[in-house]
Amino acid sequence: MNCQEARKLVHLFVDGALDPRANVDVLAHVNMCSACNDRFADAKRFEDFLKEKLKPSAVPESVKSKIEFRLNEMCTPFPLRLAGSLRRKPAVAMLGVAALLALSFASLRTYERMGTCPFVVDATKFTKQIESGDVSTAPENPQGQMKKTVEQAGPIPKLPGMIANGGYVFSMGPSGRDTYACSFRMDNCAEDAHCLVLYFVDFPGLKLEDHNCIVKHGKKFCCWEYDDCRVVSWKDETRGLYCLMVCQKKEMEHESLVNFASVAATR
Amino acid sequence: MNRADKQTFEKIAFEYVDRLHGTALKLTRNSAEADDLVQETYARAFQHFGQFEQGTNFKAWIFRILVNTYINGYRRKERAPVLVDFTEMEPVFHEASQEVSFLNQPMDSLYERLDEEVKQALEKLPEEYRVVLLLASVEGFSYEEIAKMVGIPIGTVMSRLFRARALMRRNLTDYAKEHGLEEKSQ
Repeated sequence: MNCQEARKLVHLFVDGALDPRANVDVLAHVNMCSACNDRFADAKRFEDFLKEKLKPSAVPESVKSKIEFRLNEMCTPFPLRLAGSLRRKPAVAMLGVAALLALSFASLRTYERMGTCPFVVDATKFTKQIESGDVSTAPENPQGQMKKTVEQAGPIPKLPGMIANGGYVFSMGPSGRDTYACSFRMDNCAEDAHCLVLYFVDFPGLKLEDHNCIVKHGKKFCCWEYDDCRVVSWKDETRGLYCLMVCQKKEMEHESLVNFASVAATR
Repeated sequence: MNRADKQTFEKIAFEYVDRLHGTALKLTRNSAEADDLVQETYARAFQHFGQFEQGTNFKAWIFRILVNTYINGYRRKERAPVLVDFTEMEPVFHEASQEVSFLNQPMDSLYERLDEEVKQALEKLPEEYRVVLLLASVEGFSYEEIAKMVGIPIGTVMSRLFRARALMRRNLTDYAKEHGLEEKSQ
């Protein structure tokens, strides 16, 4: 081993990272070469210097206490931990309660604003199920709340050029409102066709905001498009019902749908 | 984790609290952040204590958690590391053979006067260099252990360590020259 080779290994030697054979070779060279001996001694001395100067001092007791406290907390069940934290920080607890109240209020407002959306979504979903024959028709003598909804809806309306196929019952929207639906086909269509479906949702307290409204005979009809369907919705205040009429986009435009909806609404 | 686990954990882990805190302090350069970093390290280590294999190197295990926690959470944007790619080791070893000797510096004087200077020299190091220097020179971890802790190849550990030492030498040698210490030694 010459000086050049030895000096390339100085850091590995100082770090004790040389394999035993290389270590022996380096030592053999360093013992014979005073220049390399100085170089290696210098590297070792500098390393010792850094180690001494950078050695850690004793950690403050306050840091140890904080760690112990944190570990104790981790051994405490969550509800007790939360209660303890809130007891220690009443301002945080009060802020939390205020935030929860604000969030609840905001959710209610949002629901009121967006109240129709879940029903539009459900109505299009059920319309597709009816078209694919995945749902069976309503029982002839519905019971309980559903019987009330069917009675509220009254007889199936007669729509010009349409033939009623039959009735269905569902639960719609996030709160599972009782819903009575009837499907219609055009009088020149096959018996298994479903051109549009009319829904009566029992939701007397529902508040609505206008959405793409078309006014027909003084009544507002909101127009929606969702998942390849067109939907018209309105509120039947006298019966306490929220009504939706749904058809596939390819079947008809909103204006035609509103014409049928208007007939159903003014029966 | 229950109280018994906590006692076992504390018995093993508190042996390294000074060293962990010292490293955290030199990494974060801020005592409050160092306190938080060490707390977080202990919390994570305790949480995963079940995964620690008894009989293996606990110090390396908990230091790895410290380094990971620091890299993932405590590294400040303004202290973002200087990216350096030293894939070629040969030039590094060549430079190693050209190093300026530190022997001519009056070490005893430096010991007395360089505490603050060493601290400043360390702070001037790019973050990657500082991490490997602390783990190797102060904590005595092997290249392999450091490579696992930091998540870099062993060759990169070696090159960063060499650069870190070279920069420390340069900074401290400048200091010695500035204060006329070099002349006294000659």
